[in-house]
Amino acid sequence: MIEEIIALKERGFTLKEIANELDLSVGKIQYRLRKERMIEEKKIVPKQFYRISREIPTAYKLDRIVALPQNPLCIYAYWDIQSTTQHMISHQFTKPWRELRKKLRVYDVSDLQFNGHNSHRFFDIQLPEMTNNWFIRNLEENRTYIVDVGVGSEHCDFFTIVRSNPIETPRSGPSQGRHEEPVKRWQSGDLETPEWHEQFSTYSVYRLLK
Amino acid sequence: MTPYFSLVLHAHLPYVLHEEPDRLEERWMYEAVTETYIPLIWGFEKSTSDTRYTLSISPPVLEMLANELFQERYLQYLDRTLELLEKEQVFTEVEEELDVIQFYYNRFKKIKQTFMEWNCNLISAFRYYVQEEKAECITSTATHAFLPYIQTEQGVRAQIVYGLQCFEHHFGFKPDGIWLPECAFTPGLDKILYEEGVRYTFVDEETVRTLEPKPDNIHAPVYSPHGIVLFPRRMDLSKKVWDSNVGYPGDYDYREFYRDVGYDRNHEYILPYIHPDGIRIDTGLKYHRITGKTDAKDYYRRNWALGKVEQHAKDFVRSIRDSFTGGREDGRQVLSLTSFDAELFGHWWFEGPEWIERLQAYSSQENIEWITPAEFVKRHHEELSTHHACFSTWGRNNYGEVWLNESNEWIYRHLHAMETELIKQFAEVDSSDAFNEKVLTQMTREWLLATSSDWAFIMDHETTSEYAASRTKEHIQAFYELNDILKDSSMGDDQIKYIEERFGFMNWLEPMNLSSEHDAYVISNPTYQEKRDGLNILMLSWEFPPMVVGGLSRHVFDLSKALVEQGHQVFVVTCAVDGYPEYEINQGVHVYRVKGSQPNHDDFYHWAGSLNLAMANLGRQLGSQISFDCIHAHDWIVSVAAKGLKHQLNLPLYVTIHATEHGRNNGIHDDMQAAIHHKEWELMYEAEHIIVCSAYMKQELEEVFEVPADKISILPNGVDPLLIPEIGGNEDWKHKYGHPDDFYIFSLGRVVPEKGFQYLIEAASMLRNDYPDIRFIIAGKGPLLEDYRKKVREYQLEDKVYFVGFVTDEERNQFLRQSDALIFPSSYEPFGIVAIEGMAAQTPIIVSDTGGLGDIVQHGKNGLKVFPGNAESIRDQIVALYNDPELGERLVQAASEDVNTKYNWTEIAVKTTEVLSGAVKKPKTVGVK
Repeated sequence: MIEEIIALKERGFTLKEIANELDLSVGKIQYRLRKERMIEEKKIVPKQFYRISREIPTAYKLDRIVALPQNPLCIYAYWDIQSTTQHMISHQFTKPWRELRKKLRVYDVSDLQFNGHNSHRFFDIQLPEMTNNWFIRNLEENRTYIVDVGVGSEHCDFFTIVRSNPIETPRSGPSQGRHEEPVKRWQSGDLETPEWHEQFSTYSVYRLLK
Repeated sequence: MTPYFSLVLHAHLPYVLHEEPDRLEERWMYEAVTETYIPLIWGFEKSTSDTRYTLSISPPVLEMLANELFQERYLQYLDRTLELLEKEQVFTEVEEELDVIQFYYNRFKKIKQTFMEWNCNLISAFRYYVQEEKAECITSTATHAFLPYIQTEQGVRAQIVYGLQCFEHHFGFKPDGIWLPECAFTPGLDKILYEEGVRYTFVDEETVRTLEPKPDNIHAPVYSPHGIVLFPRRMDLSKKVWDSNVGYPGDYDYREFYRDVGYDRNHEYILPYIHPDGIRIDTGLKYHRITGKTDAKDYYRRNWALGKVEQHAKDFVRSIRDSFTGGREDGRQVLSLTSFDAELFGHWWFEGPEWIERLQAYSSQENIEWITPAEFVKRHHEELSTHHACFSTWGRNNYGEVWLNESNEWIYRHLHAMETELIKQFAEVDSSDAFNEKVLTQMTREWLLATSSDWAFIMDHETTSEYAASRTKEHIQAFYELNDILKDSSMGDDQIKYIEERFGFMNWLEPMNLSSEHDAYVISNPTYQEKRDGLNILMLSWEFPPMVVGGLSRHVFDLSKALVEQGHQVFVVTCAVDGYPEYEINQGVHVYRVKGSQPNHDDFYHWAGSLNLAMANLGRQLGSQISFDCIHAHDWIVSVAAKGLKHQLNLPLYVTIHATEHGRNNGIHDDMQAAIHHKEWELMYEAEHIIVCSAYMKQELEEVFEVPADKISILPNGVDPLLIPEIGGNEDWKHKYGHPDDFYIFSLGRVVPEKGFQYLIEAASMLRNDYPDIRFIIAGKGPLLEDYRKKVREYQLEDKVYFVGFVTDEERNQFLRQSDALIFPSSYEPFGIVAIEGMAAQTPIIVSDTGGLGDIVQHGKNGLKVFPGNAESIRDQIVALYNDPELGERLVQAASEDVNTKYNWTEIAVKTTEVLSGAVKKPKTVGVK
C-alpha cells in the first residue's frame, strides 16, 4: 500500500486526495508515510547530537544572599561574595579574608521598616569556613526575617556584607490574625500596596542608578 | 439542596523529549499517553456536559503531544508493543495469562486507533471535547516551575505568561484558570496572576486552614488579597483515591503496577522490546493483580477489577453525599472539590479512568451537581470572602520540603543567577537585532526548562536522581554557552540552531523583554552625556552639602562645580542625609547619596566601612554605564571604596588629603588611630598622585608617611567670594556690643583647644586699659564654650569679649565684612579656609604662624602673623593694626589679589584637571639619558 501512497504523492496529490483515492483516513496515510520515513532515516548514518561544552559556573561574580522559605520554622539562604568584595572586607579589617570570622545575622523584622538596627530581635550563626548556604532552623512561624552575611572581629561584633530579601515563614495552623486587620484595610481600597510582605519584586540590574 | 462536586485533574510530565532517540525518560510520556490521556479521551467520548470536569494540561505535555518527533516515536512504540503482544500470545501456555494478553492486545489496538483518529495529535481531541462542553481544559505555568522559589517578579511573570501563551497556541483561547505547580502559593503571587488575566487557581486544604482571617468554612473557595479565587481540595474525599493505605487503588483485584513483563521474560526473548542497550524496563504490559501483601501475584481479571470500579464509584458518590451538610454553610457556598495528578488515573491506578466514568454515571443518579470552577466563580463570586494566604503547597508537610532540602538546594543559586542574568541581558543587549533575539529566546527556553519543579522533586526521591541532576546542569550549561555567544557573535546561526534542536521546546516563543522599567529608563535616559572632551570624574567624599562636619564638604562642592564649569562631568558619591534625594544634579554636579547596611553602626570606623561598601556598589553600577577617566577620593574615610573601585573599574586613583590622624592627635596613640593612620597610608600608596592644600600638609606627608615629594601637588583651597557678599551700610549689630565706632575683632571656629580662643581672652585682658574700645566677638560652638564664657566673667571682660555661639551664614558674613580685623589664633590648622574667607571679606586678618595658616599669610603683606599660643604676640599685632589704618588697607588689597588668583576655584580647577588627567606624574625613571 505504501508504494501506492508514495506514487500518488509524487504525482502531487494532497493527503486528502490520496485518502479519497485509496479510501483510507488521512491519519492512516500520515502514519504510513511517517513509518516509511523512519525506515529510510534508519538507513542513514546516525546523526551526531550537539553536546554543550560549557561547564556549569563554579562561582558567580555577584554579591547576594537569597532567602527562601522551607517551612514554618525554617528558611534556607545561600550567598555569594565575589572576590573583589572579599578584598574590600580584608582591607576594612586588615586581615586576610580566610582568617575573618564569617557569620549570619538573622533579624526578625515583622511589620517594620528595617533600617539595619531596629529588628524585634536577632541572633547570629557562626559559619564554618567554605560555607555558602545554610538551613536556618528553629524560627517562629508567621514572622518576617532578613538575613545578613557578615564578619565579626574583636572590636566589631558584626559587620554586614550583604543583606537578603525579607522572607516570611508560613503559618502552621489556624492563627489569630497578624494579617486580619491589614486585610480589612487593604479591602477598603485606600492603600496602593498591602501592608504585609509580598514575595516578589521587580529585579533591576541598575537599581542603584536613577 | 444539591451538593456541588468538582473534579480537577492535572496532567503533567517534565519535558523529556530529546532529539536524541531512545532516552529512557521519554517512555514516561508513552506510558502517560497510553494509560492515562487516551483512556481519559475515551471517557470524554462517553460522558455528558452534566458531568464536565476540569483537566489541566501542563505546557510541557502540550508541547510533547504536538511534537511530530514524539508522534512518530510513539507510534513506533505502539507498533513494537503490538508486535510483542502477538509474540506473547504464542509464547504463553497459561490460559489465564492468555486472557490478559488478549485484553492488552485489543486495548493497544484501540489506543492506536484513537491516536490515529486524532491525526496523532491528542490536543485536537481535548480541544474537541472542550467545544462539546464535555471537558474544561486549563493549563499550568510554562515548565511547571515551583513559583515561590523563583527569585524575581519578572521570572514568575514569564512562567505564567508563557504557560498561558502555550495553551492559547495549542487551544486557540486563553484559559481563565491556572494550575499552580504543586499547588504552591505564596503572598504576592496572586497579584501577578491577576494582572495576567487569571481568575482562579487551586490550593491545598491546608492553605485554607491557615488563612487570616480564619475562614468560616474550609470547604468554601475564597478570594486571595489580589482577587484570585482559591479553590481548596477536599482532603477527606481526595484521600479515598490517593491514599496508599486506605485508598481505592490498593484493592487486591486491581492491576499490580510493579510487575511487568519486561522483567519477567528471558533476556534474549524480550530484548527487542526493552532499551536498545539491553537495560530491562517496563513494557507497560502488567499481567497481575495486586492479590495481597504477597510476592506471589495472581493473574489480572478484568471483570473482577471492573466490579470493584462499580463499588468504589458508588462509595465515592455516597461519601460526597454524606460529607454534604447543606449548601451555603455559614453563609458561604461550599464545594466538594477533589484534585489529583491526572497520571494517578490509569498509570498508577490502572482502572482510574473507568472509575471516573462510573462516578459520572452514578452522580447523575444520586443528584450530585458537577460544577466547573469557572461556573462556580460565575455563580458565586459575590459571596466569597477575602483572606491572606501564606506560603503553602500540596507536597509533604504542605510546605517546600520536597523542593528544597539538602539533596536539591544546590540548584537555586544557579537558577536564580540565570534568571537575573537573563534580565540583565534583556536590559543591555539590543534585542531588535535578529541574532541577539534568537540567542535571548533560547536562553529564555533553557532557563524555563531548568526551572521545572520536577528536577528538584526527583532529586528529593534520591534514587535515580541522576537524570534530574543532569537535566538541570544541561540547561545551566547551555544557558551560559548562549550567554558567551551573545558576547561573541563570531559563533554562527548554526550553533544556535543545534542548541535549539536538542529539545525543540516552544518553537513559537516570542520572548518578552524581561528588563525592568527602571533599567529601560536608566539606559534610554542617561542623565550624563556621552563622552566629550572633558573628563568623567568619580568623586568620593563622605561629606557633601548639606552634610557639613568640617571644611571638606564645601571644598568638594566648590571644586566639583568649578570642574563642571570647565566641561568635565563630576559624579559625587557621598553619604545619605535624611530628607535629601538619593540622586540630584546640583549646579551641574551629579550627586549620589548612599547609605550603608548599618547606618547607625556604633563604631565610626565600621560605620565608614559600611558606607564604603555601599559606595563601591553604586560605583560599580555607575562604572558599568559611564566610562570614567579617574577616581578622585577625599580623605581616609572613603579609602575602602576608593581602592576597591580603582581595581574593579581599572581606573587611576587620585587622592586629596585634607588632614591626617597623626596631625589631629599630634601623634598616633591608640589602636583606632593606628588603624586610621594605616588606611591613610594605604590610600596614598594606591594613589597615582596626591593633592594637598598647603605646604604644611605636604611636609607632614613627607615626614610622617615618607611619601615621595614628587607624588604630591599643593593646590590650595579656594574661596567663592560670592559666598561672602558685600553687606550694605547698616551696622546696627555693633550697638549690641558697644559703640559703632569701636574696634571690632571677629573670630570663628569650633570651640576646641586647638583653635586657641583662650589666648584671645588673655590678649583682651592685656588690652582693656590702654585700648578700651577694642572688642572681641567669637562665633562657634564646642565643648569649651561654657568654660570660656566663665573665664570671661572671671576676668570681668563681659563688655569686651563676646562668645556668641552659633551664627547664621548671614550673621557670619556681617561679622566678616564689617569687623575691623579677623583673627585665627589656632595651634593646629592643616589649611585654614576661614583665613581665605576672611581675605575674601576684605577685612584684615591676623593668623597664627602654624600649618596652612602660616602658608597663606605673608606677614605684613596680605595679613599679619602671630606666634602660636602667645597672647602678647596677639596683643602686639592688634595694636599695630589699630594704630595704622593704612596698614589695614594695604593688607586687604594684597589679600584680594590673592583671592582672585591663587584662591580662585577656576584656577584651582585648572590645576586639578592637570593632576586628574595624568599630566602631573612623578618621573618614571631617574637617571641620565
